[in-house]
Amino acid sequence: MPTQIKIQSNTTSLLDPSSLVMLGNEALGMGLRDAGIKFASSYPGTPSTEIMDKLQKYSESGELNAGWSINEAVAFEEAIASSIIGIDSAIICKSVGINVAMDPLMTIANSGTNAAMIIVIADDPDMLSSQNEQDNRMLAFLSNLPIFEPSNVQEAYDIAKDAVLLSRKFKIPVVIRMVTRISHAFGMVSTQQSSPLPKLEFKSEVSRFVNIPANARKNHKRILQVHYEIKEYANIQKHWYETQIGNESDYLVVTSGSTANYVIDALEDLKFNAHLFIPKLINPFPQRRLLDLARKYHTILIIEELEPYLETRVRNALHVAKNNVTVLGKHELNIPRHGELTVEKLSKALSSRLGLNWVEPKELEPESKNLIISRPPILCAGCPHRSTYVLLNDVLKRYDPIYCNDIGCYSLGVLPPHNTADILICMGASIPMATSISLNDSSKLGVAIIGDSTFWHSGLSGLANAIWKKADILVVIMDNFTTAMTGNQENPSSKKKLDIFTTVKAMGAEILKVNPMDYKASKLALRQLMKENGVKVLLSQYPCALNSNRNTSSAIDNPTRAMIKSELCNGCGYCVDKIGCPAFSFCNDQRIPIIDNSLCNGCMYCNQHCHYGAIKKVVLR
Amino acid sequence: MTDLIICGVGGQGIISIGHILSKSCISSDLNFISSETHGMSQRGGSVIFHFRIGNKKSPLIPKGQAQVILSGEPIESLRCLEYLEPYGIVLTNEHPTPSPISAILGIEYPNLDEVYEKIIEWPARLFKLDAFEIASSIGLPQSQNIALLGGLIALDIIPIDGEYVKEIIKTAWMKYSKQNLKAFELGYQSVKNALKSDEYELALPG
Repeated sequence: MPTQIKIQSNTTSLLDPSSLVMLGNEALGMGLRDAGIKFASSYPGTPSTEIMDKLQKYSESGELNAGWSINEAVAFEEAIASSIIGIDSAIICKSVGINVAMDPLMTIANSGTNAAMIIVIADDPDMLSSQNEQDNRMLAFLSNLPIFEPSNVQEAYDIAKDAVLLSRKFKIPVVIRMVTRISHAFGMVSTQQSSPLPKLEFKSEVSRFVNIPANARKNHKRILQVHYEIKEYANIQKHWYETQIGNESDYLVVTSGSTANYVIDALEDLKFNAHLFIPKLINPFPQRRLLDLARKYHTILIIEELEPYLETRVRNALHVAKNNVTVLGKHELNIPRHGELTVEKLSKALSSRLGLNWVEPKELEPESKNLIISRPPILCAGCPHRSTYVLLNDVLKRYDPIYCNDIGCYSLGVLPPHNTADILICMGASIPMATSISLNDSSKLGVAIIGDSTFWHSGLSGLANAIWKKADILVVIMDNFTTAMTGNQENPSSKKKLDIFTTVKAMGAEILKVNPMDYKASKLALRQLMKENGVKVLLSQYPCALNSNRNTSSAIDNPTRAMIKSELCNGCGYCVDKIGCPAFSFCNDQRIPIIDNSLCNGCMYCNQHCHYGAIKKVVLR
Repeated sequence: MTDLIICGVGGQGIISIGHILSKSCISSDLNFISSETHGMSQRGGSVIFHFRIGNKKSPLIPKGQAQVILSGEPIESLRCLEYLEPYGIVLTNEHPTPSPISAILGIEYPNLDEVYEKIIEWPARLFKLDAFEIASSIGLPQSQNIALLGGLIALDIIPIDGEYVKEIIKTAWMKYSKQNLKAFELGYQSVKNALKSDEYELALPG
């Protein structure tokens, strides 16, 4: 038997707060608390969400004040005022989330802050869950804000303290840039207690915090001066680390963040000797140390994911210093500006440019590849979005709809059999796009599809605009009372704190509320609604299938399942082709479907569509 | 140094297996790094969890370097096969999970014998486990992943003590710990039996 088990026996979650094994995001959340952050705001978005999930646990125990906000701009503005009145704050968002908050960001960068203000941005190289692949290190050029980049789970914890100290010292917001492979890496963390920060109070500073043009001009000069001062500070503070791979050689490698991991592993695999320079504070770039190193080496390799940020900094510093060392960057090493880097991609690039021995990993043979069926993500069994899509396809056919979809689980409507996405751009774009379609071409029906969280995030202004312009559109609000895609975070619809129905009604649109799991009733309601002119809102309300059923213990407790009575089934395949529930499949060449009882959640939506009454409710066990 | 790929279909508890193993590492005093793909890959999508014991820095296992693939679904083990080193081990659930999209597009789920043949040709040492059968016999369809975890521990490839793993399973889902431990035990025994059988010997290299 094991002698020492550090797992508490009374925990119910794998993500036990006392554990020292955690996600990079949880480590950063814990790091922010331990660095003295007292207020944190956020809007959920992969891969950033678990940072606030972690902070909320501390909030529940009264250690700080943290919670979700309605969108990133609002969260950002809350963090600003918190810092100005002397409370150290953090705003957390995903890569594209920061776009929503760019307006306040660009001004507070110039104004500066009072207490610390940390801006956490989790980028998503390769777009595992995003609509674009922006590299937010480029904010360095646009905003001049300091940017830290951790390269592993431990550093995600440690870097919070460095960022808070820098932010306090220079009274400026500080960015921590994460990426998916650090946010969602799972590793060990050792923590450290730090002494509490001196208390700060609000002091009115009109010339700095009231950004009328006369003050804003001074503030722009302020950030340029602060940037210069931090540059000096960065040279002294040594926010970087250096490591040697193999023996001394002529090669210096500059890299940072998660890429540093791939570089170390690849160089070790290739047995390539080099000195590594890995800045953690990437803006301002530690230029002096780079130039010292550059004098000792024959060639500098710059290796980074996405945009050539470090490369721009390094080349610029070398150019100004008139140092003619050979530089191999994105172009010379043939490292793409898109997608995630991997050890294999790097090994390939380095071995081909530097003439090293590397055997490309074997690929699967085409005959094997052909056997692999595609398996994209899909709406869960029992998901009410699926039922809403079945309804839309049945009723709207004759209106020539153009589906303007939005950001959420329901984006999966793009896949067959629903095909309910013609355009998808960003949070809240659905309603304005549908508006424009109907105003520009009356022969088409602009249909906006938007979830509850996205509606509160940025749907309201689009809806007000549509009502104001008398657009003849259908807005489908899929209200499942939660922010489902990121893992069930709260929003104003949760626990019915704010009600979409009364809000929309008060704004003056025609609105009907339906339960999408009741096919007949919701079909009648939608047909009724389509007779109206102007902005029509279908509020399709039903709890998320995971929230209500599957992910909680009651899920496993619920023994109800759907089952096909094969003697009644005529093999028409209507249920599979029309509904597309993941629990349904055909068993090889037979047209009699089978229902997987480990996936089915017993919602019984399917039997409303079977013309032969072949789908029956059964009770397991 | 052990590199393990855990793969399957979203909803099967693949990431939970990864978390249990990660937690077992602290108890066993092992250095590790792991990484998951989640977010859009919810129910029904392919899920991969990279689990590395040792001192490697990258949380992603390079192709051709994993010693073991643990798979919740036969096709998913083939999808991840490029990660496996030659003569590495594939331990897969025999129970197929069809893809609804493929069904709608009229693409048939492939013949399983053909899939297994391709895995062995890689070359790989193949172990099959009917985790669905085990989980159904216990009356907890969601325990397939724990049966697979039992099978993985039985292989004796990863330096983690099964007792630690069981301890963590108990605390993870208190209410169902009895059923989960049963699933673990049955998965463990099934692979131990396969290790003794002639069928396995034939699949060895040479």
